Amino acid sequence: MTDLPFFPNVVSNQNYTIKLDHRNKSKDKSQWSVSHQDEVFTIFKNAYTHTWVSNNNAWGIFFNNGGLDYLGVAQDHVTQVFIAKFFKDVNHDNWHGYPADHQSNQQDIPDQAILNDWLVNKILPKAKISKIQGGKRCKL
Amino acid sequence: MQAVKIIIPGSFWDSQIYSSYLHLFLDNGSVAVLDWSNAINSLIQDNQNIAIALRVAFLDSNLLYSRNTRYLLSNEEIKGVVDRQFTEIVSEPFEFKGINDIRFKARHQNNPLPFPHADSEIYYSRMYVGLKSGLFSSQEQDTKNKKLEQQFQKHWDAPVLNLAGSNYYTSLALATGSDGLYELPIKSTNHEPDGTPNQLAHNHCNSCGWSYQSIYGSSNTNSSFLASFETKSEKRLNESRNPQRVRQFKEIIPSEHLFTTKGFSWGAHDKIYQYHDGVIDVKSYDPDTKTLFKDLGKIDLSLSDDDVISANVAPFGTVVECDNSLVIALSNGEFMTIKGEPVRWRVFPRSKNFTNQLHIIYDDRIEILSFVHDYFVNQKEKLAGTRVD
Repeated sequence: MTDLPFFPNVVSNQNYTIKLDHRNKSKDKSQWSVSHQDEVFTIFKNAYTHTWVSNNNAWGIFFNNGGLDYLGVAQDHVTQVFIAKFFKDVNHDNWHGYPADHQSNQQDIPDQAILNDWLVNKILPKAKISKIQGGKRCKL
Repeated sequence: MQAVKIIIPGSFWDSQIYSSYLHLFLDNGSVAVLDWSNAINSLIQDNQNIAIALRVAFLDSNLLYSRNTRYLLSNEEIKGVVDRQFTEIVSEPFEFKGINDIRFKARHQNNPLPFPHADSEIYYSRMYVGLKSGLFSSQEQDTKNKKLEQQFQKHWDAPVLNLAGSNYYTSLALATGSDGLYELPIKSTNHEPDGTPNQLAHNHCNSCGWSYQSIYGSSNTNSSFLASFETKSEKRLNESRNPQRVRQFKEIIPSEHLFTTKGFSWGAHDKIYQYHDGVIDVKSYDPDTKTLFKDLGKIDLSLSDDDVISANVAPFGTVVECDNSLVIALSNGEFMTIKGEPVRWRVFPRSKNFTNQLHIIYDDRIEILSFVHDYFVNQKEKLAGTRVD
């Protein structure tokens, strides 16, 4: 069995494990298009640092070259997505995550507190937040 | 004839117009209740030469649909006066300084409901909002003070992406994404929610619209469908009153059974639409006929940039949201493209007085458009827009 890439103490004693089924073209699994480094140290670390954390989930977005960028594809492996959802294994302070598809799965819509933070601090344009909330298709 | 427009600068999240008051949700977590009737009457006072047009456009959309008024409009001289006024008001938008413009007599309050929400609806003087964490509501305080009660109620804890109140039955339709389409009965006595929502369909559903007693559920990832209901007359034992119309669920009719092509479809009242390959296929829906559906024709709609994100129908036409524009197929056969990515847009098909309005919120303003062409359109023959009986 292949060892899962494990990253200790990414931020504030929080560990991170990369799940391979979101990188090996598994059917019905969304897929990262960013590197391991960006998944862990750009997107997850940024989400945790900004406290975009709610109910043991963290929600991340990918800033690339000064702008928001796509970070993966949805379960259909075609639709580009730009939000990441992270889960915490509370027993081990260990996190993992995947590219979220707010259109197909409403559990992939970030929680209200996170969207409000993105709205108030103008992290995302209002029109994008509104579309995410409504589960509508949303392009960057 | 283009639309009449009112612009109100400000940072808004959502709007509702109900009982002559405009409710605006602000980005800062507050709600402003504006006296819409007072503001429009002030405009009318200052613009007596276009008084009829202003009233019809912004206060009383049904005025020119009535049989008596239609009779008057059949007189060329009278129609000429109304035409002239409509032509005059569409020339320039009316701009207010903001929500604190004295004509609005604005009342401000903290938003008592979870924010930001996915959708809202005022139904029997109760403001409902839906979002990932559930369905919530707050009652208007009283008939004079249109502020919302600071206490809110939570009715459900499943995600609600879109909600629509019925004009015919006391009920709210709820689109919940991958959990399907639900319906929340509302008591006809005190208009309080009656229990918890019932699931009507497991099919993925982003938005919903009432088609008489049935509900059209739209999805932009799967096929859309009609949750078909029938009504029957039922006389209850020991009741001397006339038989009541009772509504019963019949079946789910997937869009593949309605259209031969694949594409995003939507519907409300008497119309069902499907967009595909630069064309909107139009069907009528009449639950009182055996066949239920009838082909009405096609509307050529060459969307230059993107596919459809969402859509809705009002008497003035059908509105299609694309990535960076709204495209409206008007009931008179014309088209209107409004460029720019809206934060939100909505029509008010259930309203008594505001069915001709389209609210569009952008980053820094709300634009309230009113369409005044539909009064001169044959309601039985039009393809775009719901029929006004």
